[in-house]
Amino acid sequence: MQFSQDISASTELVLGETRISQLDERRRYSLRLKRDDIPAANKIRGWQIPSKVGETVMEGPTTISCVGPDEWFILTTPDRDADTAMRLVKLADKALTSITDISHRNVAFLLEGEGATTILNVGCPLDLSLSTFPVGKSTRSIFENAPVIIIRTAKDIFHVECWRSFAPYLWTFFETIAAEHAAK
Amino acid sequence: MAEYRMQARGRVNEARPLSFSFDGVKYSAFEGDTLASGLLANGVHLMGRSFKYHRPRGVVGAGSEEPNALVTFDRGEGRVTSNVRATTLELFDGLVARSQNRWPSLKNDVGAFNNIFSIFFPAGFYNKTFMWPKSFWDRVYEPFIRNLAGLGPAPTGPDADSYSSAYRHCETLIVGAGPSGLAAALEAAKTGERVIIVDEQAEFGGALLSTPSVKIDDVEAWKWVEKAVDTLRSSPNVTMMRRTTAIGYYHDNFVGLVRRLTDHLEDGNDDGCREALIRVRAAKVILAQGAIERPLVFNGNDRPGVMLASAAQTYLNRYGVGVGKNVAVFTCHDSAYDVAFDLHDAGIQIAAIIDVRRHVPAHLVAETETRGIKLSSDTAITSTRGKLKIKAIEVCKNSSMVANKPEEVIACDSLIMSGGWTPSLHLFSHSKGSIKWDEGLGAYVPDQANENSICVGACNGEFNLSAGLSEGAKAGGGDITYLADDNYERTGLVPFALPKVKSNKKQMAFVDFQNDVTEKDVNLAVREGFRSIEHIKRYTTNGMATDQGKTSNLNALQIASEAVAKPVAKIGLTTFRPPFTPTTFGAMSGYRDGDLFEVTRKTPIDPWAVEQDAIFEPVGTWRRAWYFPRTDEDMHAAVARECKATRDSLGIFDASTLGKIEVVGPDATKFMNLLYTNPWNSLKPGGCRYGLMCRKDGYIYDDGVVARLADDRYHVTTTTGGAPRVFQHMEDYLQTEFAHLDVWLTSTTEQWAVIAINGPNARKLIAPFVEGIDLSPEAFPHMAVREGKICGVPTRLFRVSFTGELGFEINIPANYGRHVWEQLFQEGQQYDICPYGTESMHVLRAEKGFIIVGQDTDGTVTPHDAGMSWGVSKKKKDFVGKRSLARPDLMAPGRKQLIGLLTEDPNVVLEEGAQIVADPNQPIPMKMIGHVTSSYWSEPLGRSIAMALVYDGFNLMDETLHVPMPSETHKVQVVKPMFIDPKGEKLNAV
Repeated sequence: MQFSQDISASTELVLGETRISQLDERRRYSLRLKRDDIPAANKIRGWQIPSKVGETVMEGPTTISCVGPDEWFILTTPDRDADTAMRLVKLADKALTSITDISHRNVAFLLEGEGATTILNVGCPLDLSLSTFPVGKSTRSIFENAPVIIIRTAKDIFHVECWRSFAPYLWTFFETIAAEHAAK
Repeated sequence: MAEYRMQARGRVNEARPLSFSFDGVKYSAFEGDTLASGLLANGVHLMGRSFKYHRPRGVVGAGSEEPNALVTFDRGEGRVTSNVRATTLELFDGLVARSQNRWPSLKNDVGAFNNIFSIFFPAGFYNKTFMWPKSFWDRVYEPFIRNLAGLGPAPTGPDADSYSSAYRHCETLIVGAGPSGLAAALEAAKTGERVIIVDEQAEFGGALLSTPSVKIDDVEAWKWVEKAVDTLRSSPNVTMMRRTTAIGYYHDNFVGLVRRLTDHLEDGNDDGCREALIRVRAAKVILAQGAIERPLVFNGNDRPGVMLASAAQTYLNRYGVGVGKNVAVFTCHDSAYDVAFDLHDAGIQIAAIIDVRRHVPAHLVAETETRGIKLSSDTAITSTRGKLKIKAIEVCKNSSMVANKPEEVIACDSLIMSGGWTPSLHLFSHSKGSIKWDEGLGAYVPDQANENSICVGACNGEFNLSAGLSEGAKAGGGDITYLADDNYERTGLVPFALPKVKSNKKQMAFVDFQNDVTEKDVNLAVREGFRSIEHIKRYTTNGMATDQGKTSNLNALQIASEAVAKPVAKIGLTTFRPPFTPTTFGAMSGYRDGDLFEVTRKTPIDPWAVEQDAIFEPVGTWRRAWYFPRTDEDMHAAVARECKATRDSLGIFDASTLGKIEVVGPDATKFMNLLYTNPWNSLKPGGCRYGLMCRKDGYIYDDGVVARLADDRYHVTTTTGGAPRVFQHMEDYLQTEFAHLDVWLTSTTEQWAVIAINGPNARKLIAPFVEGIDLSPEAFPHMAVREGKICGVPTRLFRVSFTGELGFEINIPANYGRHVWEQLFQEGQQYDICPYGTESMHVLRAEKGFIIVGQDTDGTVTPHDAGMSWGVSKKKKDFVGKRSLARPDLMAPGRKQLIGLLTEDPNVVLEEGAQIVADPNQPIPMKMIGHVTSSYWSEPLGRSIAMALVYDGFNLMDETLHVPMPSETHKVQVVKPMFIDPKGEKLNAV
């Protein structure tokens, strides 16, 4: 089936050294777990769940971000989904959980390059400097009127998630910023 | 070279001449000039007319405090800005500006008749005059006042420019790049932390740009500035922003900056964003805003050519412009002498220095003698002469004021004045820092900071340059002491009221130039009983113009203080509010224009509806297909057709916007029992139930179908608009009242696309596409849910109906929404499948009497009032709202209750919101007993239907009521709100 999130124009923008792109299909889960059960979860082989809100554990294309005291946002690619799903099933056997498939709820953008923080700071009020927002940090925030989740996966790479109906708004924002950049 | 240009002076670039036009006249100037300096260079002082009296006005200042010289700046269509201060408008070749508030021309202004009759326009004039007769308000007074209100033309077309915005963070933000600000930045830069320094002017340097002869640590002022700027520029951790105004200082060191990017450029229109709003969060804020010189309040002080002494110094030293050739000086403060000497040394004649003070410091007296300048101490100006520009001053010894004529008339072509200095407390006050009265300065100075902020230099009341520099350095984190050669203490007597010849009544001594408030207006306000400065301000409008009284507040305060015979500190100071200077709406809105004005959420099926030329309506933040008109169809016809097609055969509807919440955990049922009024224990997995939610006050909050997928998992749906607040409401209770429950909530609204299929052929349509679900009525009855596949993708298939027809709601992962929709639509052609929008959905549900929360309820309707007592469990020990529902007033008979209405004339469709009365012949005002909540034309019934909330409605069945509408009063019959298939035979169709 064709993957589409109704962003009509191209799905990539280039602003000098910085690139904004829309990511293709991803699998996503919302995991709810009591904090006391984190050690049990981490006994599952190859599974590491961050315990501090704002932390992300990255393993290949899979990231697990702690976005609330008892809430984790799990992101992976379709080819790694079986593995993730299996671990979640194991976890559900060991502890009380709520696992909800939210793969289609969100849309993701990747901002790569030196200008990534500047572009994000057009609409995101957080201090994204490396010292306060290091690699591996994740947070819920906003980009102007759109609620987002931001994960810094590398020094100059940010993974930005929003609910799908907010994606065209975000993309139009990025396009406007790119056009402004081009005018300069 | 223009007549008043002082060759080889100033910082303007004489190698780059330019021409500009003001009121259609072309003038020449240089790169680096402002409109004000360019006009002054050409001998033009008259730059505007005053707001109320239309008095001719000249430039008073040289910076953003300017009250008089407001002009219209014209950059072409869609780019006309009113009320730009000529003193801050940077010239470029070809700039076009116009004066304001005059007709037909600045020199001959008809509106000036107000001036002649000014005696009839005292403070409070409008409040007193336009009270009677009452009927005059709409037709005469309001249009008249509106005509007079405001300065400059309001734009008529859309703004042609674009604007941007961004957030920035830093450890140190410095506002003001004068000596103290630069000294602070130099030290802060050394820390390696992020530093942002901003200045509203085109160049860094502040007051030093106007005083080139001063030396700092033996370096000439301009060289020192240049070196400081170079050092900062080479520091990678320092961001420098010129033409950037800190407009407001908010909580937690959040400061709004507006940066002007293109207005100063000749080709600015082609250069992207005009202005940027930069919202800075700073760990520390250093305020180095400087001080503003105070005018003197005397008769005729608003004559063009009368200006602040410091402004004359700026025009001379920074722009190389003489403000006159024979300049008189009026002062009560030492600092005017510096200016007089600068002007004299530049070759400008000083007509006289008139000093109010009896004792002038000896060293100043000596210097005037050296230069041969005439000095009259203990003397005041009693009037000025000249029409469109000052020609002479009338002078009188303070002791001889009794005589009603001047002792001396002194000719001059400009008059500069100094009434001391007012530290700029604006941003400090925005941040709620406290202030204290400094008797020596005759001004308020900062006291206790409320944020991590520190004031340095003149805005802190520190007027000594060496001390101000050192203060800045210390605030920046350094420990160095500066030594400037400009170290004598400038003092002054800040006069409460100047000696005067004429009686108060005949004087035109202006306090607030921009709002035309005179000294006698302030005195009048006090005489009429106003005591607080906040009241005096509002009564006189002093300080309420676009300059927020930068030059007038302190003078008004002192006059009021004298009039009420109380010390200034007892009268207070009016509040400073953002923005610091007038700010464009463009800068405020930033990117929020067009598609970025607000998020418009669209469903996965929305693009299909666009292709079908659907008409859309906004629902909350969503846009939804409203109806699908065919050629030449209006809404009425389209909706009638859509409803009929659905009832006759098959309708397809995009219900994706429905809120969805996944409630998961072993205590899910307990939680549902607490949040909804219905009982949930009896609902088995695979079943659906209509859920009704109340707030704790017992009124209906939301509703929706809930599916139980497993013992510990519910798929809850909410209204489209209610989704966010219902989620919040649930989470709120879960985290506070019901924290003991093991249950979690996840919003899945956007995980699922939802396609509602309704009509007798609904099952036939989906049957070929469904895998793994037995669709037979026995296996899959009304109000059930099954999981399986449809069109090859996973589905949660609901058998529910919001139309009264056989219905299915197909939930599929959102990315597959359009794919499934298109396949069903294609297959449905054999059943004449009809896509319908929200309007038909509303009609179809009203025909069945299903309520819409927010339309048939208004936050004061209980489940019983809505006729839904069946949805409230009587057995449950507790649920949100239970206790309120037992309150006597909510149980009382005769409350407004939801009933159906049928008009006597079946063709009349009542207006939603129309009031209902029992007896149409009663006298007006009639007793209104209810109102219409929903009203539609029902095509299947061939008549109109309506729902209404009416007092004691349940007991009025079959009675006749009346609905007065603008054209006539309609008779209606009260019926049960269930118009079609009351037994639900279609719903349960086999």
